[in-house]
Amino acid sequence: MDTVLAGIEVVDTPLVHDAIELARSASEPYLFNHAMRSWLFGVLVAEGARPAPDPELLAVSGILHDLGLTDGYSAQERFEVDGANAARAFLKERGIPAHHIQVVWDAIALHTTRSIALHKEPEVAMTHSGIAVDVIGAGLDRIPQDKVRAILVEFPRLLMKKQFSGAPLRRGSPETSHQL
Amino acid sequence: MVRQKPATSYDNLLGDIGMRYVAGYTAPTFADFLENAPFAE
Repeated sequence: MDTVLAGIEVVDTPLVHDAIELARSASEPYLFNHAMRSWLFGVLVAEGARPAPDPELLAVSGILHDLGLTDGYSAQERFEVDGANAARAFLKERGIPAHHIQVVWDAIALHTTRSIALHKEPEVAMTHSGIAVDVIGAGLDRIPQDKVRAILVEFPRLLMKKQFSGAPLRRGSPETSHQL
Repeated sequence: MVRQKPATSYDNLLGDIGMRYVAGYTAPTFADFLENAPFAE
């Protein structure tokens, strides 16, 4: 089941819909938009990739990857792990098989660790790649400008640089910010 | 390893070793990447 979002054909299932609603309800608008753009950039990065990522797992991973930065899901661990744990609970409630849950957990837990994520499963690698496009512009030049514009119109950045540079300061404990 | 493959030291413990013990060692920061991202805001 597919639909079109920002001009891009994406998977449309109850699981993806629930993930979107979870991210929307948990996140500040700028963070929700970042999650959605990251997913869409990940879809574009994955075009033609072999092996191809599972589109539903790629969607859930991208959409939920920053739950650990939200008030509702920030817990005691580094934010990537808090987010991965929250996504695992979300998927377990919905009866998703354990090996699929593990892929999503890894994708979220490793989304800031480029040097490892790029060597893992396609879902993990392309979740990272989509996020990297949106946050630091890595690979942006390989995406057609009209597609970039459509994504930015559908999900505006809402001062993301400023917002994002402040988010880690607003919550969390310092001891989780310098783990190796 | 820090001297031979510095790019592999930026997000693990080797970076700390480089900062303290390798003359001239520098590592890019996420804050710089974020600020320099090719988006207006």
